[in-house]
Amino acid sequence: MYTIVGAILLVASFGTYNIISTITHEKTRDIAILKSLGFMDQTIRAIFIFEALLVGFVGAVLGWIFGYLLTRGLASLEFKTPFSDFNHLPVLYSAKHYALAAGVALLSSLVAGYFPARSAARLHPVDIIRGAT
Amino acid sequence: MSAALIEARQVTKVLSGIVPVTLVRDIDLAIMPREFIAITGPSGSGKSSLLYLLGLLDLPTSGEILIDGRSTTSMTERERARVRLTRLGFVFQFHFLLPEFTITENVALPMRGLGKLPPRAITARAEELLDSFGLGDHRHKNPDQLSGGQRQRVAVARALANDPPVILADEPTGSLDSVSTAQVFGILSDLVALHGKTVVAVTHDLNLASQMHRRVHVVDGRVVKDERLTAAAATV
Repeated sequence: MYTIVGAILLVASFGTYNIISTITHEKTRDIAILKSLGFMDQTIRAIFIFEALLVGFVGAVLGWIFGYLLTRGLASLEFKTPFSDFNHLPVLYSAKHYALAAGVALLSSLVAGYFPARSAARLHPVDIIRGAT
Repeated sequence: MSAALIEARQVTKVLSGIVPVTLVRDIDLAIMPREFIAITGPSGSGKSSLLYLLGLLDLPTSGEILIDGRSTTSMTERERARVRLTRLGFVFQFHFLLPEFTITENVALPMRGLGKLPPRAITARAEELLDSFGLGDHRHKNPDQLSGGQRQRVAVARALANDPPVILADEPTGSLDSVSTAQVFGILSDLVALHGKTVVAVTHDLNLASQMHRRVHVVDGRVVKDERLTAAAATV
């Protein structure tokens, strides 16, 4: 079961990474503006990492809620099979799984926010400002 | 020690590449307090490149830039950022306001970056600046709800947020209609005349340039003419 959960989390983390790194790349011009105003690289990195973690946290909480409702829905389904005495899907509720999912979401958000923000903070603001005008 | 606010000494900027391009060459320029300077020249002559070098947005290939008599050559990026935040204000041709924020939040940005004032005082100062530019009624609006001229006035307010002595403007009226051009130019002019700021503006508009104190004409990366248009700057 952990293999399946692990695969799901891996795919989800790639999705999270793609979305957050795209958001950060789209903010390249904003980063140049902040740098031209005198914001330091570390401040810019911190802003984007905070944003990524916030997105990851909100995603994790929504994932908890929808995941819980989904498993409740699955657990309520009744079926009959001649091969088993079970008439419901066996559903396991474990706080550990919720914590693991949230941990993966936050970690992938952190990685997704950190690397693009770091490279964007190193960009030359003049190149971006010239390109944008 | 130099009395100049900004001084360029033999500044050259070469863009490296397969064919190196010299943007600015051997420029000596001293910008004194309370001057209103136009940097003019044909397209591609190096006007904006010179402005970015003076504003520490770019580093010279050779020569040095001094701010308040202090060489910036050996400054770290952190120190240069600090100088930009406290001593220089930038206005670009495009307003470059952050679209997700209200105009008050945009004006507050440099103050937040500096981190000297509490949030309430920052908001109060941002609103005060917007009021002084006739934008008080729009303080809760986002940039896309304003006209081009209003956005550019917000950009000037943002440049003034930390009360820097020097405003560097790159074609500040380049994308504006004649009415907005007159308003923005009037604001820049008042900054010098009434508030004792120094304004250095790149412009194509020779009519505007003729109304400033000094005109620095750049061709092929060199200053070919540096003329005082009025005696105002020297006597203020």
